[in-house]
Amino acid sequence: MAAAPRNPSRPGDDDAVVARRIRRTAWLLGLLAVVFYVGFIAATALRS
Amino acid sequence: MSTATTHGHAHDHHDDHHGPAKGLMRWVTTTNHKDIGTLYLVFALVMLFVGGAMALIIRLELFQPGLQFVNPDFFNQMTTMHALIMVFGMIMPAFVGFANWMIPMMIGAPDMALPRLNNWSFWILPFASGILVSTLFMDGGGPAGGWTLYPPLVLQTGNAFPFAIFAVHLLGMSSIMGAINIIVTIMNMRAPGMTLLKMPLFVWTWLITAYLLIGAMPVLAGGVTMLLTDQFFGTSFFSAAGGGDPVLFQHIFWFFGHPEVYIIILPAFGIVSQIIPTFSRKPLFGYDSMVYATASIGFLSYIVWAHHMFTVGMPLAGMMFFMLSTMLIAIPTGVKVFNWLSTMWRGSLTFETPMLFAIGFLFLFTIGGFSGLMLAITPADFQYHDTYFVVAHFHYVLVPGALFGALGGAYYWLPKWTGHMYDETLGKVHFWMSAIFVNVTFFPQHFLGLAGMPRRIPDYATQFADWNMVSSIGAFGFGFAQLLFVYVVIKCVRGGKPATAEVWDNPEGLEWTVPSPAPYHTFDEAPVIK
Repeated sequence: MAAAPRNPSRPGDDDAVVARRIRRTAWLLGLLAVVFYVGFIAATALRS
Repeated sequence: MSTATTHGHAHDHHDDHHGPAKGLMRWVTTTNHKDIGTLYLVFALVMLFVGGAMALIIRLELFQPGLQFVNPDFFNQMTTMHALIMVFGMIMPAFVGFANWMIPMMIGAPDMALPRLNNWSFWILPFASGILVSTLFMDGGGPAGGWTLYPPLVLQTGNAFPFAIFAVHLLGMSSIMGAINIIVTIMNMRAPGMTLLKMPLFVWTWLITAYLLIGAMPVLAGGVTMLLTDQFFGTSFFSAAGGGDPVLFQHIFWFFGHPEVYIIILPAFGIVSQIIPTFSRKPLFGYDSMVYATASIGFLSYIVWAHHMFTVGMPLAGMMFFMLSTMLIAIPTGVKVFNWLSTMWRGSLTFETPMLFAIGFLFLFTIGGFSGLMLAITPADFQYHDTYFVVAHFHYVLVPGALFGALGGAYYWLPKWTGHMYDETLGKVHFWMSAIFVNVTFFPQHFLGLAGMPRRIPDYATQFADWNMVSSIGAFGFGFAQLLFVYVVIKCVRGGKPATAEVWDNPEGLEWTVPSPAPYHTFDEAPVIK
């Protein structure tokens, strides 16, 4: 399955730049979710 | 205000060699945002009837005092499963379906940024929901302690407990992956010239909703993980006997649960903000203030959670803080209602079905908002807490609020999705039946609650009999009205008057620049935004 064709949101950016930005944003958001998940468990454990 | 238009009409010239695959595998392996949007919407519609059937079992039992049809334990399973299915299996997937269909088209993107993740996000859903529903058939039945899953009650669930927890984890994962995809798409895939403050309101509300999802869903996941370890691995997070604190779970749950309310309602705000300008033939009044109001609601949703637990006991300062912060939400919400009304003011109004649902939303959601303000008043909440008044309040927010928003959006965009106009007469009949029966169902529940009828009970004192009977009649009427919606949708998919690209009278937004039905691939070449 091919990834969707991408169009740059900023003039001058080529597809590779946009693709890299997409991957970076996605991983950061995913990491944020994991930090919240682990953080809440850890905080509760410390309080219990 | 978005004044986006397009010069490029390069949407359909790849159709001949990039059409959809054939057969069942098209739907299993698809990475196309429109296909996945359709899957979400169809799935949500199916779950509407699964969760709705459970609601009707509840109302059937409550039609008269005394135990008639189901035993109390099964009744409690129905209240719990109805809520879990309607929240996680129906209304959230419905709005993700709208997001999938419309966000790429509204921002001039060819697809979602992460199409394979998109496919996975959807296909987790039927399995997770299947696991959840299957708990009803397990030894000991499904979870029966309410959708809030409070310990220690929820730990009394039979064999179904780990399955229900696993299902909630999966549903949360699906939501988080969907949210990541939406944020990444909006932040990186907008057509050149589509600045943030030119985005349609629906895109804005979804951007903020997606951030709420990423902030809130891991908290729920953490909470239910700790329930699981308390039950099976000897921890005592929420067990007082082991040094834990059962009230802490309530804080964790509602730290997720209140943003969840806005996760459900913000996309409906976005849809209504698209519909009202179109049928008022005016631009949306106060676009910037709408954006800031949405962001304010998103922020405030994180600092009001303990208003759900005033009766649990907390310091006076805590009660004051959560009462006042909750009341603050009325300000940005009031800004929105004012702006919708001002958009209609002196507009050239017409009342097609989407507009009827939007106006129904405006009136009835506001009733739910006002009863929310009543509940925010701490001393008053001590009286209302755990009564049918609360049930009436949140159903006004969720049914004529969120569900009417979704139904209005479905009518608004159906011609764009199918290429056919829906049957306007039947649509209007559907609206009026829904609007009348939703009030017949839920308005009497205010009276019942104020008179002291507790929620989550299968039997009640005889003085509550009359309004319960009225409420049950309304519920069955509302349920049957939704069958009409299914008929309208099927009829529209199968044929009807061909829809033009614009569909409505000069609507605003990029989605109306592509033909109806929208080609399988749109905006392979970025449109130019003025």
